[in-house]
Amino acid sequence: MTDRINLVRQDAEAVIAKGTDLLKPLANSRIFISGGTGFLGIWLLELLSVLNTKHQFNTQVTVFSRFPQKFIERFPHLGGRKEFNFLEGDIRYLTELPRETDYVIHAAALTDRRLFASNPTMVGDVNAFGAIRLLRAANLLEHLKKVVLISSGLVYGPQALNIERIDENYSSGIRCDNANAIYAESKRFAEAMATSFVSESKLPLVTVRPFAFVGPYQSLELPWAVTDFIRDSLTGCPLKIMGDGATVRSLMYASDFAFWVLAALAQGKPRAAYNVGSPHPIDLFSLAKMISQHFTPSPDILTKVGQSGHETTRLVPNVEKATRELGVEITVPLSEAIQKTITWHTAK
Amino acid sequence: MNSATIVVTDPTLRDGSHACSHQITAEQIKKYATAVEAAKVDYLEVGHGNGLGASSLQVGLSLVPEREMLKIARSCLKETRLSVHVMPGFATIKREIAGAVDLGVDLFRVGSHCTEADLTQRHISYVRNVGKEAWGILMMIHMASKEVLLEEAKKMQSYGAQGIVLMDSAGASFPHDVTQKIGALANGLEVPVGFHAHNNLGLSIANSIAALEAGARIVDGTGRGFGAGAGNAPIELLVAAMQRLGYKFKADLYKVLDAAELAAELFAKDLPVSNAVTIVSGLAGVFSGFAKPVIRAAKQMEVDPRDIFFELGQRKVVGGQEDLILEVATDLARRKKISHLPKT
Repeated sequence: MTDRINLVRQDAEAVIAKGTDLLKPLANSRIFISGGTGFLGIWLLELLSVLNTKHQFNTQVTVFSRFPQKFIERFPHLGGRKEFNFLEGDIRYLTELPRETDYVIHAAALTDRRLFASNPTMVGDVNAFGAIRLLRAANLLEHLKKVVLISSGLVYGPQALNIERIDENYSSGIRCDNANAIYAESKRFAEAMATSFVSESKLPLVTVRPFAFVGPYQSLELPWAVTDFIRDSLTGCPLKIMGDGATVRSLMYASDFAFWVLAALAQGKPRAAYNVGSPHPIDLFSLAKMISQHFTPSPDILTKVGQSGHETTRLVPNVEKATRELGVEITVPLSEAIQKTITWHTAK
Repeated sequence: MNSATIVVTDPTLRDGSHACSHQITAEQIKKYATAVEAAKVDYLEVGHGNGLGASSLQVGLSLVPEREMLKIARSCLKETRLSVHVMPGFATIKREIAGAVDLGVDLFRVGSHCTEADLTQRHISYVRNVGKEAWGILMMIHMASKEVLLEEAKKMQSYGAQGIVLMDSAGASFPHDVTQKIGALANGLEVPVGFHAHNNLGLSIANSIAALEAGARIVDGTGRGFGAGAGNAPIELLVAAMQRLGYKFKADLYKVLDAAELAAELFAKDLPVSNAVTIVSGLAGVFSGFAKPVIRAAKQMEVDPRDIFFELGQRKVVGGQEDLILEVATDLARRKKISHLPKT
């Protein structure tokens, strides 16, 4: 575990070193993070621990999670830090936040695609109604400076294939007639409710719409293309692509993801929404090839193993608004992100 | 017509286990597996009829222990990949699945009743995480609409299943049912879709061809139809029909025909036939594998086995509920006795 911790610590230090000043408003503040032990949550804690250790930020963090004890035991290098206070609870039943809270990041959500099909009502409940509970509680805070709502790039609906990147004004509509639609719909509804809170109560709210990511701490059990490719490469299996490999995504490294979210908290304009992700498209075949090159012998790449009518899709954000208004940039290119992720998974 | 290469799976040494009360011998496994390897069939499925871990007093003890069966088959296969059937409830992850992984099983076909795909999540995830292939299997498909089947199949797909096979376990489907159901999955899923037929109503080949025409890319067939109830789609007829219709597949027709001849010899006394019981099983929509225990219970309780099947169908009994067969037979015997009592 030590090697893995060191690898992540180096990444956290590197991204912070390039933009410490952007995060200065967070110094000497109290941050509440819901869903603080998930993929994004743990990376936020890694960055915040670097800010406190190396840059004397003195930021206090309340981490709200369903299973904090498990997290503390599994990640003692974060769980044991005095400035991190862990609070156990379910976002659906949240009633109040610590009174001294200055900033809130609402990251609690069910994002596991397997649940969208198996337990869609719970996904809707947690993502939509959990957000409402959080917003109500945040609305009562006396010293609140900003709330960042973690939404999703899927709220835009499917990206038209002839559009290279989608910006924050894009909308193609979401189909709601199958259970799998619940994730995008729950996030869209949470955004609509958040806008209503802003309208009624002038809640200082910034919305972040994340796209796709890769990096340490991401479970390889998740059935996404990048996790499938890495897991199958690690186990010596061929990389299987259902279609012809022309589907396009973009992947941002985890440390950049967490940094951009903190930048949105520190620099984001209330009422604004920001795409967070990589603007550099890559098709699935090229991604599989990029991953396979890290293994000897290189695993085979099989295309068209799915149904013949497999649909080609595209999902790539335009992040000009975030780079302009938040002052952020991509610090880890995709090839390096893949290399780092594989190294982390093979480290002790 | 589907231009993709069709994957052919042969579950003779698994589904056929039902046909001989799970008494497949080591010699039969060795000989048949060798023939299937020579025929270049894509997958050979081996094990107890109800899959890994199912050998038990309740559903029948396998003659050859499961590990032994898999070891023998493994030693005969090179190009043909070794597959097992997995039903959560019978197969545990730590004991049976991990054990099968160690023995070199390539494909795990994780099945559930057609409305209970949720049960397969942990098993499919485990198999994928250890680097093996996992498919989802939805059984007794005559009991669910195409919409429900698509919903359940999507669950399995989201768990990581790399193929979804619909099993007409009771042989109760007609070609138009298969066209609708396979068509819905072929249009709604990313992963390949397959079909596994039973011949209770004499439609196994017609249904399998309907599946292929509707977009299936995986199809199951067994040597001489050696399988539960009235048997499966005979692989030799299936491959012959596919060749005639111009489908692409890897298997060698002549060698498949040879394997089927061998099956006829090896399993001669237990080869499935269409009879009153299997036909009624199809009409009642009851799992084909119930045929033998139903006949035994009917003899024991002196009732008509066809009545048992219709009553089981009324109760919507599914695989794994074999213990209800005797209960139903007993109930029918009691009712028969009452109806014969003199009226006072």
